[in-house]
Amino acid sequence: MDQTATVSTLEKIVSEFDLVFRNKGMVSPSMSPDTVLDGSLGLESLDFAEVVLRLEQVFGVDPFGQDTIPEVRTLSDLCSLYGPVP
Amino acid sequence: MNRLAPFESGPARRLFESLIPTDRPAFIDPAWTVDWECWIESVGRLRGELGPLRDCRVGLPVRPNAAVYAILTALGTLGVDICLLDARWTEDTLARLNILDGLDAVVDIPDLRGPDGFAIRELRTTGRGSGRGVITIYTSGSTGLPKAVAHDWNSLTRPVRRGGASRNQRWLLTYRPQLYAGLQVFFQALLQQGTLVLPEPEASPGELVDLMGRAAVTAVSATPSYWRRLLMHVGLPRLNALNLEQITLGGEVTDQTLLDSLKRAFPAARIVHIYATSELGRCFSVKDGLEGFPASFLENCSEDGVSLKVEDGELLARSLNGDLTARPPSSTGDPKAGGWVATGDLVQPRGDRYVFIGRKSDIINVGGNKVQPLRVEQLILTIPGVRDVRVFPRKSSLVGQMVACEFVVRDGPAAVEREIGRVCREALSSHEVPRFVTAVSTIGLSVAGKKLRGSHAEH
Repeated sequence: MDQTATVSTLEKIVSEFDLVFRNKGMVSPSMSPDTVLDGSLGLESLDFAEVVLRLEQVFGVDPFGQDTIPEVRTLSDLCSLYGPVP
Repeated sequence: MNRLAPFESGPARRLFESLIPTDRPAFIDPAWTVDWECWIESVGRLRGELGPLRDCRVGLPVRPNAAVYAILTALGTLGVDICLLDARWTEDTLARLNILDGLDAVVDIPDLRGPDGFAIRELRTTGRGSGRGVITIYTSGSTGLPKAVAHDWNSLTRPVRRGGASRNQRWLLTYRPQLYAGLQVFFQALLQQGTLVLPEPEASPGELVDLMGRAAVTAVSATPSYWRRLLMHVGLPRLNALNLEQITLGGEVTDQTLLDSLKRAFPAARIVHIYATSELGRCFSVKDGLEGFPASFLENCSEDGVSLKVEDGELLARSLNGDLTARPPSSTGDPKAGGWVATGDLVQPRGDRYVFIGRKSDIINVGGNKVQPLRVEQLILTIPGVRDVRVFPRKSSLVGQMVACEFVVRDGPAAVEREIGRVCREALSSHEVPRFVTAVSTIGLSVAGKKLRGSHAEH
């Protein structure tokens, strides 16, 4: 496994979450691969849609624009859509 | 058939009957400044030379140029049906729009220093003209392909303001010359025997203001976006030095901030914003310096002969002159019962006025929630430092569309970007807040000089 690529994917995704939190005037929580991406983070569904659009800019792909919408529960699930799972 | 029919009863006839002014040029363009006598003589000569086309349907690539206007006018006096083409269209575009199939010939002027070097490209020998002087305009088509709208000389010249302050004005042409608004400015200058000043198509705001000063321009008609661009890039002292008497805004919604800014820049000018579309022509004009229009406009027919009403928040118009244009049925707006035409413009009562809140088709749908980009733009324009803004949709696989915006500032884009986020979050619902905010040096405009809308305009 390419450890550099994995870390980089996770960091890039967390960095986009940070941006969305900051834009909302919120402090970013500490995020790990096991973090559950639900309402407890303080993000609404529109914020998650924003993250996905930002990730499309970063990675050049939109895994949610395919035939089936992938199931995403944790940050690790989301990472796996864009690169190797850490 | 009387081949002078298009000018027989119309106001253009008076042009050729009245005294020819000797104290002012008819046109000032980058290649040819021409006085009235010389220009009308050219029209008369061209009328003779173009006579063989009188039963034809002719394409005319329109450039902002005195020679092209002479050809247009000469063809008009012959009753030729004219399709006004964008001179930048390639053969491919003409083929895609299926335009050449309906034409007998194309008249072009490779040498723009005068009208004598015109060339006729014959496409077929049978005449396809109606003999009625139909003028087909291809609307700007801000979404999708240009749309053909058939006018005639009467419908195009009807809105010309006559007499008094309208006479002898020096008009700057800011619109594309082949579109309805550009033709209105041409006819206004022509029929009031003023002067039409034609800038280079790609002139910068600074060059435009220089030209306006040099050519002693007194009247300018332009879109609000065009005016904002001038105000943004040219300092107040240079604008104050211009002697503008008449400012006309049209084609887009005019907001109070812009009206107030123009009043400061041109305190002596009469400022009018008009409501018109390519399909309907001019419906009404507002002269009191306030955005929107008085609610009393709904009770009385306007001086343009148009009645208005509001249904489900949308402005409906009906011309008391019968059909506003000689348009074919396929090119109308949405026709309603009783001759009412749905304009697609949404309005809202505010005190004793109605204000425009956007176009039905501009609505951004964020997960089923509707967002009016104009409302968001108007909020962002109140933020100090923001010179211009465009709000548009970004496609989202999860919620359909999301709101994005680009803005223009002179200094400190990062601070203004933060302020846009703060102000929007405070004043708007979550789905209305622009999620993607970008500083740009200028806002893209359509060929009609309007702000580009819709996801096709995404960067």
